[in-house]
Amino acid sequence: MNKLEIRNLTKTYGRKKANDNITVTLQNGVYGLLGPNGSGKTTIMKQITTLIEPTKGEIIYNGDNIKTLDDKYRALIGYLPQEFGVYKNFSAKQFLQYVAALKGLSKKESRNKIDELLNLVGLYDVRNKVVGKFSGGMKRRVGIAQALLNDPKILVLDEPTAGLDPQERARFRNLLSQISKDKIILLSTHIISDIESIAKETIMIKNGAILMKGNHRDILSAMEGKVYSIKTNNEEEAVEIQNSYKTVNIQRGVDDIELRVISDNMPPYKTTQVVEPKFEDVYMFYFDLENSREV
Amino acid sequence: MGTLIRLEIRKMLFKKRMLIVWLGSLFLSFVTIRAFSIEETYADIFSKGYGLVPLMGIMMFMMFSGAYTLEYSSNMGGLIKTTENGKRKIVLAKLVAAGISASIINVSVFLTVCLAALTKFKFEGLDLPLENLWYFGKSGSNITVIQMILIMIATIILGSFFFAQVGLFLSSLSKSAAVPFILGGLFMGLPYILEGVLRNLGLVKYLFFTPLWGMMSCELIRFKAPMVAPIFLIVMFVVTSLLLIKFTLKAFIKQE
Repeated sequence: MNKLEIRNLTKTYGRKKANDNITVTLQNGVYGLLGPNGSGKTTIMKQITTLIEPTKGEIIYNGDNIKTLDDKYRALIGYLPQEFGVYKNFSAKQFLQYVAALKGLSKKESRNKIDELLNLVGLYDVRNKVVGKFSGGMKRRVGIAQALLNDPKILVLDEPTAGLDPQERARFRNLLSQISKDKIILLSTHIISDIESIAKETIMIKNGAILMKGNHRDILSAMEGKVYSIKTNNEEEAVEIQNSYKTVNIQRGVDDIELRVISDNMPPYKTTQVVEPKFEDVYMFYFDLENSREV
Repeated sequence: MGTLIRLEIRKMLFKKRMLIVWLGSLFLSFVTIRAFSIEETYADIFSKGYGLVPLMGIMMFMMFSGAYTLEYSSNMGGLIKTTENGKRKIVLAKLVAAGISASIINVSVFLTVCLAALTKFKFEGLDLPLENLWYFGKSGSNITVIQMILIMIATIILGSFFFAQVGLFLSSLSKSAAVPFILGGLFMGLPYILEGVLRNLGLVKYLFFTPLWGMMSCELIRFKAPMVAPIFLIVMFVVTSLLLIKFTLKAFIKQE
């Protein structure tokens, strides 16, 4: 069992607190890190991957401070940054060989692992083509493959499914579910459905601090009785509802408009119905609407 | 480590623009030597060899300047630093790769000049003392042509590793490849640019202690540098390189 304890993690840049007293313990399984842009998700990930040092607090892996473990700890990490450009004159195979060497894999180990991962991400047939000519989705798949090269115990993925088509996303989710039994996977994404389908727990971050943490049931239960569906065939009324309530979704049908709203009190319209909350609603409730994309 | 070095060499050396400039330089090195008397042609090995320093500098700093800036601009730096060998070992691997690449380029340019000259006389007269060549006329040196060629190869390799570390250090500090290219090029090329002026002012002795002359050691012989000069240069190469490795690692780790 892997255990990563994040204790009172604080990171400041001048006066700005990027992370504020984050305390959380992660064990095997997938954890979703959810929050709007600039909420401090990437800063947490950078500290977990030793890219930056905390201003205060510590990170403990299986009882040892990761600063003390140093190279030994990094040997256990797989990391996919939010954006990274592969070397244009390298083939997919050469790129993975390079990362395998960085991860300290022997030639024999890396040969087998690279072929296995290229198959897994569906790039085996184009393994000898230069990565510079790959599409965005293909480059992302190379990124996913490199993160898995050392069979990491802690896998940190920053927006891993950005740029993947729905089929690739589904395949990637399945892959994460398969491999999550014996590792800690921390997944940061804006794509709420990714977290909804694979994360055993979600950590919601706002202004650098943990807003909420728990499994789906815990998080959704907080929204129970606060999500409503309102149908109207009056355009003016629809505008009024939008102006009066936090509107998560507007669906225009043939005869009417269906609005999904969040409110502490039941909106006073004839067609108002309480509906089951979804993860998207939680996100909308706690974060600004403009920060939600690709749900 | 071997794979890392091999792939770093690929990253630095096997770029289209690099290969084009390299091939062009080799061609220029070959055609620059012409068949005169054996003494004159052999003297050209060293005079033209030194004359090709600007090309060597351009190629070297073209390679070195992007070594770290590429990692920063592509965001690979972050990924690299989260790996087991992504801090100390990668810095060493880059140094070895840059040193080997620069040595290959510089030695290939110098050897092309040598071969262009030596083949014109079917490799005869290799034991000619340097004092017989006009380029070394006042030196009175009894070192032979072949000995000087071998010494040059050794010092070019040593110098290539030194300039590699200088270039890598500058690259590790910069976001843009232009800065290490210009600064590194100036650091290397200043003695070459100033030689004429300093010679007229009688101050050429100060160039004995410059890394460029350490690399192109024929200049030390030509101007009868004291024994302390090569000793100082070797010590400086080693000490500076060790310090720069440390500073490069620090800069690379610090860079986000």
